[in-house]
Amino acid sequence: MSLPVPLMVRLSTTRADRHITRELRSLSFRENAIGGYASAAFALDRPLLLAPDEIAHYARVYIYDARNGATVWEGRLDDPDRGAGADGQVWNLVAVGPSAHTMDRAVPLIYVDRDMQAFGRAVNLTPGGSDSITEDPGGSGKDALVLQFGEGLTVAQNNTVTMRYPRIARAGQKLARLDYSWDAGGTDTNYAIQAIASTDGGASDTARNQTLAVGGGAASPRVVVTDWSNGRNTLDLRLIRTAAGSQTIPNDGFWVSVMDFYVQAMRYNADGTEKTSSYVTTPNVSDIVADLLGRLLPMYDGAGAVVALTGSVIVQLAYPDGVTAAKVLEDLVTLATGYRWGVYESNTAGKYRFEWVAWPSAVRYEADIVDGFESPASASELYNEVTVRYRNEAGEALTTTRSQSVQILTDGGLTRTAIIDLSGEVGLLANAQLAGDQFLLEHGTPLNRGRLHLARPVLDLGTGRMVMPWEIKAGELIRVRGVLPRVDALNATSRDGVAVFRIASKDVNGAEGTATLDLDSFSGSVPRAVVQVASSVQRRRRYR
Amino acid sequence: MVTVLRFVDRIDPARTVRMDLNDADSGGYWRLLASSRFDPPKAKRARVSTLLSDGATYPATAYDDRVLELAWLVKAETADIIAQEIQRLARELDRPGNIVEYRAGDQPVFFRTRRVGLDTLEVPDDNTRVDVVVTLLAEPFGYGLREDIGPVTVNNDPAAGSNGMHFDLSGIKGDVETPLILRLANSSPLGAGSLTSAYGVRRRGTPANIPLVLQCESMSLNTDTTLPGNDTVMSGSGSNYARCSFATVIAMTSRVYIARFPSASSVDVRGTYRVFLRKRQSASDPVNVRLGYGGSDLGSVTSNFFNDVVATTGTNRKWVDLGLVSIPASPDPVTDGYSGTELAARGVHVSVEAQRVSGSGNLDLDCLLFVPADDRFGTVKWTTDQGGIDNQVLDGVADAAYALEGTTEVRTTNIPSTRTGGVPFISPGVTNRIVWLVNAGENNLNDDKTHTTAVTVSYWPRYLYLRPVST
Repeated sequence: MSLPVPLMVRLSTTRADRHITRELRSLSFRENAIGGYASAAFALDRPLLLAPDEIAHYARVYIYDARNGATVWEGRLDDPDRGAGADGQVWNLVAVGPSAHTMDRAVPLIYVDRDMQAFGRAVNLTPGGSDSITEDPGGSGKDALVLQFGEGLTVAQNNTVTMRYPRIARAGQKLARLDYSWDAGGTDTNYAIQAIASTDGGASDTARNQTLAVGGGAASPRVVVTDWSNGRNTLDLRLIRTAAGSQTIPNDGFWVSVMDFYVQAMRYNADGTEKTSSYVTTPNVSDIVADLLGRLLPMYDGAGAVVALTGSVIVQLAYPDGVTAAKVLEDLVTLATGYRWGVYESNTAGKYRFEWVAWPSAVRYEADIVDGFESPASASELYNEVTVRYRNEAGEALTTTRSQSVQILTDGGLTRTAIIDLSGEVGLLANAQLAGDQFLLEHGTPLNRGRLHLARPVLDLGTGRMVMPWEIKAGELIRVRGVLPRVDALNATSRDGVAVFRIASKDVNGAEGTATLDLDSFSGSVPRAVVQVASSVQRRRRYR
Repeated sequence: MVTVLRFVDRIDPARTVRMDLNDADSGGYWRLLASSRFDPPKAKRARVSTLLSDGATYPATAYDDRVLELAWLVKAETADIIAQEIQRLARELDRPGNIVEYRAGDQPVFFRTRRVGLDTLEVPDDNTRVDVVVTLLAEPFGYGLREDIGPVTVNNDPAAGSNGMHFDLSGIKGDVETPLILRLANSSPLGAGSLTSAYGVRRRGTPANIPLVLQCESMSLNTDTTLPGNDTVMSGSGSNYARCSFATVIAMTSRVYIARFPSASSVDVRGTYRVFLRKRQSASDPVNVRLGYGGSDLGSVTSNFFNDVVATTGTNRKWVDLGLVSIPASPDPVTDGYSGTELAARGVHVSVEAQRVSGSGNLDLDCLLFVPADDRFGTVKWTTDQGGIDNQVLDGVADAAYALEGTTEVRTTNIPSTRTGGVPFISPGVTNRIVWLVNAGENNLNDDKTHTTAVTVSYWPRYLYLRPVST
């Protein structure tokens, strides 16, 4: 290619909309496989005495391919830095991609919660009654919430031992689905175990009501609309004397244990409408993604978003202390490492395109190493075991270890064990096992951490075109010629650490029309190592 | 003939001379010396070179600023006159930008200069003559006087006998490519407001041979698709559109296809195109459409490549952007080895797939428009403030779109015109085809094939050295 780089840059605010290509001193932009458009930086000469109408915080930045009109990067101005020096008066502008909107809001968020530690005593008109989280007295061995009228306590009609789950109400959400199984110390139709759905402890519906029976009761889910009105946000589980008159409790058998408890809050559809039906036992990861789009990400085109259905189910996902959409997405990727998310160009309504999709299983690009290639392929990311720390329903900190066979480690006679901390927000055994298995999948072959430099068109097998370096999409698979040719590389469905790599990120030097691809993971560099160390010391919050 | 060198106020036949810089032979003080240089601009390149291959790669090339090295002898009767003349020059050089007219033959060329200072000033003992040297920086290209073409009438009918969705420009003057200024009369459909137009440029080979329009009725019919007959609002003659009823299959599937488009192979077929579908629905229900393409001469088999699904709705006739297609859609050597002989490109299989998301109603498919998208493609969303606008302008020089009162007054509009992509450029020595889609479907305006757009084209020829008489 021996023509000027055909990239055009446009800035748009409410006061001005200008193409500034010819005024640029420099241009670079970055796209990540996870997150999409990440950042852009460019400098232009403008006097510092004036505030240009097109330069302002959150101005929209567009970078187009002048040949075909496609948007190759888009975001918002984050840092309109001004300076004066030997080069004159220069504005150094930094923009962030639309993925930054995932950090716009931090809110408490409950999706599915099995944590019995969340319950607290309420309507305490019978303080002699007791509550505890302990092993089921019925002998199942499960952790249970045990409510009891103790021996010698005089109990009148409508006296209760009530335990309230307040997290959904405190998060500003509503009840969608709940379930539990239960057991009791005896059979007595004067007493009942009830689930009461109320609005802030006021107006209520009885979602479930069963008299005490020595055989207990199996799980029997209850859902919004069918079992309570839309709008109920507080759950009470209570042992209640329903019969008239009073009784002095004669023995220790007047207890009920609640087990296998879970509650789900109401979610949003991706288009922003409330989901009032079709709640199942465990939501999918894709259900959570859709809720984020509808709830926290109005800047994205939720209705037009591509949200691939994921098989991974969520057994525990609750953030009562607050969370951003970015953090939730990070946790979802941990639970479903076969998927990634990204945010890209906006539509005519100004909303950004969002996708939650599986990592590709077909090689998309073919390139050569002639413009430069580095491939460290460190073994430091190889693991054949992982220990996952999590909390169970009773709030106990536990661990589980998962393993896989890695030939390279086997040949070396080595066992390498990583550790993951799921904390209480994403805990429980099933989630821990899932996260561990996903981690091992990603760490069974050496991560490349290398770089490929491109200064010429490459073949795009997905469209049949030769594409310029800035058109390459991060997240796709690329087969690199000139590196250990093997027949297997021609049939690759995933990265192989040798000749087929996942494009972790793409850095474009717009002024020269070249690009540098990080292969498999972000390339090792001092700044990145510092960030990794800094983020590794951050501890998740613990809560009761 | 004496070389003309002077500062002028504009590049225009009615320009005013600000300062003559070679008037000694006509009683003035300035004599341009033979040591002066008017070198063409140097080309600067991004260079990538490794030991992995022989030679280097040049990802991009652009011309650097032109450097004019000018030397004068300034002679006058007194030192005061000398000082006055030097002051005049210094003031001209100090301007943020200036225009220098240079003519060594019959035709002038103009250089747009940067602010510079005097390099050297040698004053002899008697103070009545001064040797002056200035290194004058200028934009890379010299400019000729503005050339106007038209107005050209562009028909909004893909099947029009002439200028159907395009117009050609040839005989372009200059040495290198130059940006266009397109001035469009603000009449229907532009005057209806909220209109988005799209354009693409082809500047090589024989543009008449490029694939431009593919009538859907000429394609093979697939699931639930028939030829209802003639509709005067559709393009073409006879049975001029295809209708998909979704009677048996509402899911996404091929509705029309063609084994190979275009049918004639040539080097001009090669390229990337943005494909627009002209369609109409009988009900306002959501319909998804998708372009498929693939191996040449494929029959009714499924296409190999698929562009993104495009959601569309509404009963108006509109153009829908189906995305990009490359011909050929495979590894392409372009030339025969090192020979430089370009290989012909064979057409590709093309199909239109459609899905009715909900509701009822038909989908009528009129034609596909292949807009060149490998050189210069862009879109313009025209201002919606239509009161009093006489002309809408797509200005490749200013890199902007705006409205005019008359032909020279820039109007402020509450909602400015915005654009994406590249501005149109044209090149000398070739036929330049500008494919023009005035109503690219981003609004509720019914597309009307009887509409025309009157386009006045202006450009400034750009030169590397001087302007020959003929160009």
